[in-house]
Amino acid sequence: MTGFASIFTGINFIVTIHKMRAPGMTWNRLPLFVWGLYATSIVQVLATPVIGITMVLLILEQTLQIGIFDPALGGDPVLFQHFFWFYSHPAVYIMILPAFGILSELIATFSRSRIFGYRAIALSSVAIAMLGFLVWGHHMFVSGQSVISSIIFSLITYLIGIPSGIKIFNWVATLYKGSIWLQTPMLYALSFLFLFSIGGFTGIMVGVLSVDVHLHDTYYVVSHFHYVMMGGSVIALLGGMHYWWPKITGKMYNETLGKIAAGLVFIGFNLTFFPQLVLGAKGMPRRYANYLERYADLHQLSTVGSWVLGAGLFLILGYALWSLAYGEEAPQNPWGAATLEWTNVAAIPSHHNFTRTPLVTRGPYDFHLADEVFGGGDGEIGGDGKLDGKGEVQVPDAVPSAPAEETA
Amino acid sequence: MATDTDPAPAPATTDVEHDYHPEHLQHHFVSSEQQFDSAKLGMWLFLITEVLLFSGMFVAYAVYRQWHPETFAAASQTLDPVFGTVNTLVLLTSSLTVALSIHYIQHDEVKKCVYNLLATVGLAAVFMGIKYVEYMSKFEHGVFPGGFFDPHGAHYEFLAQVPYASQFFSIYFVMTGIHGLHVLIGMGVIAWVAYYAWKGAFSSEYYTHIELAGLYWHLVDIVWIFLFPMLYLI
Repeated sequence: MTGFASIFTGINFIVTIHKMRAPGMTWNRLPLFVWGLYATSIVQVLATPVIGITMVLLILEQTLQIGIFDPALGGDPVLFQHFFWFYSHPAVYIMILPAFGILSELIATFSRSRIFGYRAIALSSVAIAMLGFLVWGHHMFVSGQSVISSIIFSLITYLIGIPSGIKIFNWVATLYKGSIWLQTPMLYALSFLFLFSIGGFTGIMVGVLSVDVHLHDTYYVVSHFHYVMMGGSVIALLGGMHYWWPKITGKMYNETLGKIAAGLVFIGFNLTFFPQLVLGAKGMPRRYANYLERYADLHQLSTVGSWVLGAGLFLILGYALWSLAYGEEAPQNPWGAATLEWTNVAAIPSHHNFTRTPLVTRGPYDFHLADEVFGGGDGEIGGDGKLDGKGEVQVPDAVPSAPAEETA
Repeated sequence: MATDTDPAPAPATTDVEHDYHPEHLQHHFVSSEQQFDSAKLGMWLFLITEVLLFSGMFVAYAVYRQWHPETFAAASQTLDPVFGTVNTLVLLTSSLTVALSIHYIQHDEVKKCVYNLLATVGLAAVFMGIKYVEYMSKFEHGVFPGGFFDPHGAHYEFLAQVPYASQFFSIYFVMTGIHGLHVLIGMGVIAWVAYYAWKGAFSSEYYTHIELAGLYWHLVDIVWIFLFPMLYLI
């Protein structure tokens, strides 16, 4: 059935995070990317079955005319909208929550400071996952649902702004007095802060009942969606790809080209989608191939922006492929990050990730503790990037494996 | 959640080959308990998704019952509560037998465990048999879901006059049909587990499959507990 893979992925992550953490890896020591995936998994597990049954009912309606959604058969199309959005609104949180997780890693690593408000960031992900289930009706303000439900959905939609704001403010606070290192991943992280804030604010605006009647089905909504999904998720994804590229491929990418591409993406993205906010506010409806003369300039600006954006993305594709073929070998921890995949795993992870299961003795962003091990703090770690003699301290002695007396 | 944070008690060598290593324990788990707990948590999460799968249909039922209460009252008259009651008892008994099978495997009584698993499959077959008789008695009189609805014959003729009666039967057939599909899948899984239990794959130390199949079977049972009154009684 639809989405089994999605459900099982979610179940796998939740069970792994609950039951299979390394010794010493308490909930408060989980990297925030893991927290992000945990919240994502909750959404995947709880939302996907609903779209599954909706698809089944839809198929049965097409084959047996069972009359659940089709008004000609006595069904109710608004019911379909409810079912659809009960999945599809949480689905956007499936896309954004891992991005939040990536961002926490990038911000902390490239400003060399312990993340500000660890618990607030971690729990706000879970809060977004939960609240995300209660706001589907804000897609249906003009569908004919009752005024009361629209008001309630609008209110809960505002509430989502709180955990999102918590995150943004905590990330900015992490930057404060940090030792900021503007490598490509960090450029994406900073782009994210800017673009996602715009995406979030425009989201609050379309959540306002009266404003939404004007903006519904216009380019404003298209732009809002792209500011959140592309300015948010895709930018964070690109940042994450650059950040973990050395770990995934064992090769470094070209830093200069990376920075140029990040710039192109940022400029191109804004050129493409900011005019669309204006277009939408002026009344340009979405899903039309043609437009009135007075919208022409902004449309053309948006088109030119998309070329710049495309150039940036193709540049990334280009140097990524180049890096795969001819890239420099990556050191174990090029960013001086403090999480386990950088400190305790070889440049290219072995089959079981860890040759010895690590004993976690500190949080994921305790750079002052990690720095004792591999020095630095400016991000550049000793020459070839390999751990020096003291680095062995990092690999803990106790390696839990199947305890004989328990299973005998 | 016993395995949450405590480091494993015996930090042994890294060399897994020289450790004592039960056959069923997969390499990425530290202990049998952890493996069992993980499997069980995963199953519970899966059951939640099943509840949500059925919840879509329950919502559809609630909406259309609210819209056409007379239709639902009239149409549900044609369902035979005797069949429904017997099937409820059959399914409840099968839940007992599957629970007993887990009890027996915990005490290493493999034979009794297998018999109880087979009894579960048998009771499930009885359930499906009764459902088959019910479905056929409807189909004979043209009581099909949705567009094929064409009631005729003494007991069913009046349905043609009831507006939206086809919708009731659409919901009835979809809900009981998807539930029936779950019963069939459960029969397959339990039969498969019984086969392996018979071959001696499980013991009081390792019976994850039986436990999980049992959990699934209880869910199938619970869904029916809701379907029965909603469709047959009220």
